[in-house]
Amino acid sequence: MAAVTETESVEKKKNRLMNSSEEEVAVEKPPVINPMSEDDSAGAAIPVGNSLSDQVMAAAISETGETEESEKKNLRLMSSDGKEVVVEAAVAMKSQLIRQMIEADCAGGSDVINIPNVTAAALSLIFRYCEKHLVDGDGDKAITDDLKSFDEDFISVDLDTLYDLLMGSNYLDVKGLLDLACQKVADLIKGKSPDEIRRIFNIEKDFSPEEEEEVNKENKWAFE
Amino acid sequence: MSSSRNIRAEYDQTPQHHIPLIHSLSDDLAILCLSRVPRKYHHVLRCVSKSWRALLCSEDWLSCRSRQNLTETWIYAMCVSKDRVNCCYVLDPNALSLNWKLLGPIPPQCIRREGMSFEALGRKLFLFGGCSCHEKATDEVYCYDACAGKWEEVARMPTGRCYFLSAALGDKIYVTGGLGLSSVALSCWDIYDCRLNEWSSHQDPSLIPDIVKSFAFEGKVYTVHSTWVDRQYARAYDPSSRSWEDLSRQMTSCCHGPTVVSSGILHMLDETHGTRLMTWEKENEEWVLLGRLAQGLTNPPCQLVAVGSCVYVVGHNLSTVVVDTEINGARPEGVLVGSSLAPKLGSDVSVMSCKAVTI
Repeated sequence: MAAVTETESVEKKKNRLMNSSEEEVAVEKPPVINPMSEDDSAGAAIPVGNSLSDQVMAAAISETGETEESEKKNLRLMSSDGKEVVVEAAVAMKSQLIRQMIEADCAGGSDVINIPNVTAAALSLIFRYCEKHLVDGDGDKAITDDLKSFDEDFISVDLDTLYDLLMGSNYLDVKGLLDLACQKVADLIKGKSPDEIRRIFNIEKDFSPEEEEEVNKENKWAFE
Repeated sequence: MSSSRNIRAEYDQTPQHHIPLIHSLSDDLAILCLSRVPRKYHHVLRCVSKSWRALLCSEDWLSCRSRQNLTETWIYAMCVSKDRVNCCYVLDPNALSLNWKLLGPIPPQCIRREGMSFEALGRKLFLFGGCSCHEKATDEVYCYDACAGKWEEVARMPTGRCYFLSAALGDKIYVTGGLGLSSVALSCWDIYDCRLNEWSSHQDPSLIPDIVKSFAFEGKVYTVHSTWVDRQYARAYDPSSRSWEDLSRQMTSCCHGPTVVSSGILHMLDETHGTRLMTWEKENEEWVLLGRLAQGLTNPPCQLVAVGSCVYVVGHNLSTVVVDTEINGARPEGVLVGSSLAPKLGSDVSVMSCKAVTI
């Protein structure tokens, strides 16, 4: 079951005030069911009185309950490159930033949250990590081993993607992914020579000849 | 655009002349990544570029590693070789195979000095004073910054000293006694403030120049005195209140060997009858046996240094025994369990003093 879908928005910068019937026409996804309402008709409108925050919190609570009921609330995020990313609320709330915004009801009247610093591709990846890590695996060795091998494969990406994950997880405040990405960068450095490190990260050697001699002399003992 | 969204500030625009540590990343994130590189690779990081070298000497670096519990402690041993040449060795306790490595050359002025004091404070090591057959007691002080990996001369002591006493407390080093002092300095504490790189002096009439041993413990300088009739007594000096306190005579037994504080407990290596590791029990004010080291395991005379709950017994030729006091505390009075290392060095060396530096 795909947690994330992408659609092109018609007007990149404009926030649309949502109305459920319009939503169903523009995007094909299951109708949003208000868990508080007894009216279960497919075209139920989102009552004006119920804030986005309440719905998401209710959906998040039911998410951890019976999954058969499937009362999932999706969140819509606008990436930096103007694409809309739809994600399950429970998955998105692994980001402390999004969680705080929902809890503080900062999305205002609209349902689309702007994420101006992260591209849609990076968002997809980050939420893929979040979805996998929804399960905590507290003490269960099989789960923690599975998560560990997922992490190893997940973070084996090219440097540009790694940077995107780093910056994205930092901005969205997804601690586990931030730690994973930072450790990967550190692992790329371990055991390499200064030349190799400069090549990997495209760093210019800016020592003057005298400075270089001084640095080499100071550190000579450690290289032996 | 939703107005209430600005919970996170935008990244700072880097000024034009600033070269980022890693391109495409803000320096904050670059530091988070680099701080995870283990200490044994730090010398490589220093060689990459000017900004990386500067980073490794900065406070940001230390505090970032400290915040994430990534700091590592290395042990430095100041030694003297058979031909009376001073040298410094370093040990990484976390390395897969324990190995003492010769640190680069120490300042040429210190190579043949005797009677120097060796202290560690923060990320720095200090060599104070000393004398030699060519020079009288000197007031020179040299400092090794373990982050930068280099030696430099720092503020000189108010008076020259050799074979004197020192203790590191908080961010200051207390120095007193010894030979070669000016007469003014006879009853005087000279205090070095590491942050300001400054010395101050404090006259103390209660400072009796018969101290044979001193060490820092629980915020005080513990001193053991020996009178001319060969009687011993122990006192503790509290620098914050500038007052002395008499201690139980039992404390004077610590003259039998080196002392170290590990996990807040004072330990002493008694090498008089076999090799016994003792701990000071505060309530009863007496030395209690923690355990014995198997005969022939250590190479006395030894020096002690502690990293966490592990006590390192470093003897002649840097033969080292590591004793975890927590594990051994469960079965006191038995033979201590530990690991040992007997390195093959180029020449005979004796250990004068060992200190630990955490980065």
